Amino acid sequence: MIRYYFYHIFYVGMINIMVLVPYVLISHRFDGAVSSFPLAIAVGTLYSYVTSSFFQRFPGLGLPEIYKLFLPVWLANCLNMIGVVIWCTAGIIVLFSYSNTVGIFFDPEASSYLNLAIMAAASMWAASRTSRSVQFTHEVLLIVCTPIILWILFKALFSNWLDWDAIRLIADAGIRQPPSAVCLFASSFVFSGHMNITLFNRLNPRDLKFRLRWTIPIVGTFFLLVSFFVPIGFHGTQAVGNYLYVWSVTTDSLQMKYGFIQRVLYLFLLLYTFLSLVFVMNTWHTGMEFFKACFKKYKPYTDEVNVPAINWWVCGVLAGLTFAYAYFTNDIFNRIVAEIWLVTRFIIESILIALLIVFIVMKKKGYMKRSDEPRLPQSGGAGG
Amino acid sequence: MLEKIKEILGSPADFTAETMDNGYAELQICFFPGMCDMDQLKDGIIIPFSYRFDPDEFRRMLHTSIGFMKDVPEERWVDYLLKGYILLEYEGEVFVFRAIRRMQTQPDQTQVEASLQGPQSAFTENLDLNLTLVRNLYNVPELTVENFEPQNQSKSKIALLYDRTKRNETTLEEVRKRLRRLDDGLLLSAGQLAKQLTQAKYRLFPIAQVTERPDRLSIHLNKGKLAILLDGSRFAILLPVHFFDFMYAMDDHYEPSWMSRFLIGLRYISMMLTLMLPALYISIVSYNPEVFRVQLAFTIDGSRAAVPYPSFIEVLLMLFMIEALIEASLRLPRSVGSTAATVGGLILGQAAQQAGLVSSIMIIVTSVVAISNFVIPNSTFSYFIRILKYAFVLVAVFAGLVGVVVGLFTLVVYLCNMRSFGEPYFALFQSKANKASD
Amino acid sequence: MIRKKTLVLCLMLTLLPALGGCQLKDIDKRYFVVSTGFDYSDNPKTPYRVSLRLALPSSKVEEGGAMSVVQTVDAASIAEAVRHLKSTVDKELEFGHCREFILGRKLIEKDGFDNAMQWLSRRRDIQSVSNVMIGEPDAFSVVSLQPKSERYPGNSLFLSFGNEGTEAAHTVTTYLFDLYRRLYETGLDPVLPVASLFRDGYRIDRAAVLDKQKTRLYLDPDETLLLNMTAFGVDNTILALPDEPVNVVLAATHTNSKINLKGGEDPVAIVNVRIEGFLEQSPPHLLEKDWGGLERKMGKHFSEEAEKLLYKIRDAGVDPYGFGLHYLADHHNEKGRWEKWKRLYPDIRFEVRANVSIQGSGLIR
Repeated sequence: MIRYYFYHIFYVGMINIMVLVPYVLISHRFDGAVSSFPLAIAVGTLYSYVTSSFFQRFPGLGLPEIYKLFLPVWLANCLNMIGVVIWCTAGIIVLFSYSNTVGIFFDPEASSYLNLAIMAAASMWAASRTSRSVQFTHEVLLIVCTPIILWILFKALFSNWLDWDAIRLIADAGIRQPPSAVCLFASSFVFSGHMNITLFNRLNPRDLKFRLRWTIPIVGTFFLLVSFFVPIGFHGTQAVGNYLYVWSVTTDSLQMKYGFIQRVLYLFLLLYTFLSLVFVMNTWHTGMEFFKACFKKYKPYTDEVNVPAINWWVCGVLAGLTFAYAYFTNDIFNRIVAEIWLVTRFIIESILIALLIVFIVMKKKGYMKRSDEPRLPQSGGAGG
Repeated sequence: MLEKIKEILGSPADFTAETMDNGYAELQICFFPGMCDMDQLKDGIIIPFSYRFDPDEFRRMLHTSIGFMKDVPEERWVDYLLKGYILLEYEGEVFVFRAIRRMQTQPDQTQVEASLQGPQSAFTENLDLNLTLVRNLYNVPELTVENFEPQNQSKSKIALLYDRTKRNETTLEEVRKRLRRLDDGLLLSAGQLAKQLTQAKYRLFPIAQVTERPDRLSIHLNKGKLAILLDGSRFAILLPVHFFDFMYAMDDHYEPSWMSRFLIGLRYISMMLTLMLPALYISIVSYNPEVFRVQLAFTIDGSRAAVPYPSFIEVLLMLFMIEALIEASLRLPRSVGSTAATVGGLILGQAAQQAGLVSSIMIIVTSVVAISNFVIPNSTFSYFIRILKYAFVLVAVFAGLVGVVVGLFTLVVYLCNMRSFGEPYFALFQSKANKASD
Repeated sequence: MIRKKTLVLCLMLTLLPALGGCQLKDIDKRYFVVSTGFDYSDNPKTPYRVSLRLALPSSKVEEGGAMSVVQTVDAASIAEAVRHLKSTVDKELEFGHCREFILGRKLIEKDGFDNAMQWLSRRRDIQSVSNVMIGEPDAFSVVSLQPKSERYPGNSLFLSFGNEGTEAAHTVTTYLFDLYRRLYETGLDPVLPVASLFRDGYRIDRAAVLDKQKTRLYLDPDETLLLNMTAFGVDNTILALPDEPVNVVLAATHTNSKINLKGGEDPVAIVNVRIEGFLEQSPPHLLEKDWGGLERKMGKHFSEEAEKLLYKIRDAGVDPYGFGLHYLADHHNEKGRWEKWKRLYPDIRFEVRANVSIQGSGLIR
């Protein structure tokens, strides 16, 4: 089941485009974007190692259950709520920015709420499923999308129109600047696929070994460099800063001469519709489970037959919040929010990592509030 | 005894109840002649009782032969009679003699799931023969058969088959539970039983497979799954199944590996085509004509020039025609069926296009949709796909290409959320996943 | 319970149309624009003349069957002109399939191409891989030509570029995103093909080299060919060596070019070109006599011609090769390197190292 862990690593590497990571990085391309990459790679790898080895010691337990092992209930609930906020806002931001992008490129005349409505409805339905269903969906869609997205990326990478001088120039100019904090936060997002384990560890069997962890920095670095440098290679060092939807325009610069669809842009957008919905599904689902974990009666089922009503309510509220957000915001403001989110996410992730290390120490010394009787992933009986 | 029986049954015309007297002893006998095998009756009862009569031997035969059952409770007499048993009373004791008339002694020819190189024999409407067919193909001592006799109006025997060493206990228990809980209406066919077992009325995909092929059933049993046979139905029910099982024809097992892989790929592509093509046509023609390459856009544009109404009406019209055509030719006798197809397909299609009612591209779309639908090897599954494409058409009308993609996402979520008797319905790499989680 | 569900379902169904659904606009209610021209109209109030060639659909596809109409309007800006044009046609204008944008020669000379670029890059439906070119004498005449051989409206012009249809050695292909990059990039200047009419067809065998504003230099067909080979490495070109009585001609199947800068204060720009091909025209037995010698001779001739072109471009003060960008990338993060390059460039020396490799003499000796 280790593959599920790597699915998350991969898809977060690809989804970074929709969380506006390249946009943030490119706007800082002359001051400190590139020099923050090595830091981000180091930090991201370190964090992945910490979380994976931590959760390996607690098989079948999600983060909320682990909080309960070590912390008093009120503190655990506070931490859970922080998690809820950070996960759910991610989904809302991506949903909004993606429905915006789709609206602009597919159907500028249509009401922007229409796209948002159908995408929010789909995400709501997907996120309210059980953890196991969410994991299966994730797997299926990722396996369908990844090869084609990689093909697009490689097509771009080997294109004649890619200007390596511009890339060299930026790499060179950037690496000599002191690293900037915002860029570090933004670029470390690419490595943050490991954070999904905080919930999906519940589904991991006891004997799970995190093999092949050395691939994490390679995968992350690849996606980070590609998503930053390819647009620069296509649009030059200066003009790239003028584009708002930088990756959409970059894929539009490619063409499939013999394809049914000639504009790679459409293929790209359709694939990213899947990825964005998967992202929203994962984030909302995680947020929902964290939220439910705040209640006393809650038991971490991973495969219930009948979806409890609270799932619908929580996801419905999230969809409603997305609409409210869409009503009060616009594209430019959303970019600022996304940047703030990227910063907050990094800080909270760092705090969490520190907390996890503390937990490991506490476990070794035996300071546990409750015993960690291994709980296998529970299923709510056979359904039909 | 005879009085009691007559009390319950009345006295139907096809019922025989007599008292026979050979001069030494009396024998009361009753049965439905139409349901009984007369040869067995003659050999088993009449001859020993009449001209070869020996009271000791006859008594011994009644008590020892496996054809006779003693001590049947009074309230079950009628049940046995209705199944074709013979009821007899001799010296104050009541016996039940098994002389059911077997309609079939030969396996059927496959009709629904034809195969080029595989076995041609299919299940029959006789449970015993069906069990023989399965035993012949899956000849292991672990094969277990459990009988269920539901208390409904048909009272057809149900046999639950599984491999004792391989089956999954929770699934088995669940199926047993549901078999005991069947409702008491008429149970006429395996399809109906499958519907009752799987319960949910509005499910979009089947979670139990109905098959007429013993070889498919054997493979299924060998995977550690369950099969249900129903007396009087020439189909078996396989469960739990996965999405991918429906796209698997038995020929894939018997043909060269590359060929079968190619064919499986073809089927998935066809499924996607039949599901998505009408929706894609609408969304591209009405929302995003720039998605296609320029030549295609101009061709569609030109061919649609004469069409007086929006694309979705065009699509619905053609889909209606093709569905009507399929439905009409399905129920017609073979000889008329081909005529209907010719009239509908050729004349109507060509004429509709020339009259400017539909575009020529739409004719192609329609035929691709229809043909690809027939590529799906399982007919139940292809029905579901046939219905599902209208959902996509609806989404496409309102939200265009994005709607179609979001709809596809929802479909994947739906499939991933389905469980067939506790097993995930649409999880990739199934076997590995099972091992890890069990 | 069931009745309640049905009610909710009906309610949702009636709400559906409210969401949208009336957005749908069928393909036959749209006009496909196949080429767009921008001209300068000499009227200071409405300086922009936009001409659109609109395809008329026909269900039959045959040579010469392509039908189209041309619409023109003058306005104060391009966007206004396009809006205005909408009122002169009965269907929605669709730019999604328009891949030819023609800038009138006069427009570029008078107004530059910045305004046109702003409009082109802002529109979401205009493809980044559209071809941009200069129209001569004006964009309108190029747009309004309807070649007899066309199967689809606009196809003929579209196929002239890239290696889509013909692989013409004299045609420079400039995509919109590339032009936009060159418009802003330091040390890299735009090049545009020049399209004019020639009998019943287009003739796109020249190129214009521009600075960030206006045209600086028009190249003749031979120079355009050299530019294509040295700057863009276009395949399927031709290399001629003057000889008596006929030129020796090499049909190059592969061309590769790479630029390199050497020297600090007195830089030399080295252009390495590798050309592979077959002889298409030569006196008999010429190749056998001196294979290597012929290759060297052709290479030397090519180098001389190409250096001449490079000096000409340098003297015009433009840099379509991106030497400047290369210099900036080489010289890391020195302060004032751009100013230094601007000082150095007018005196830079060029060296074209051509490596011609003849693969054979065709089917005969």
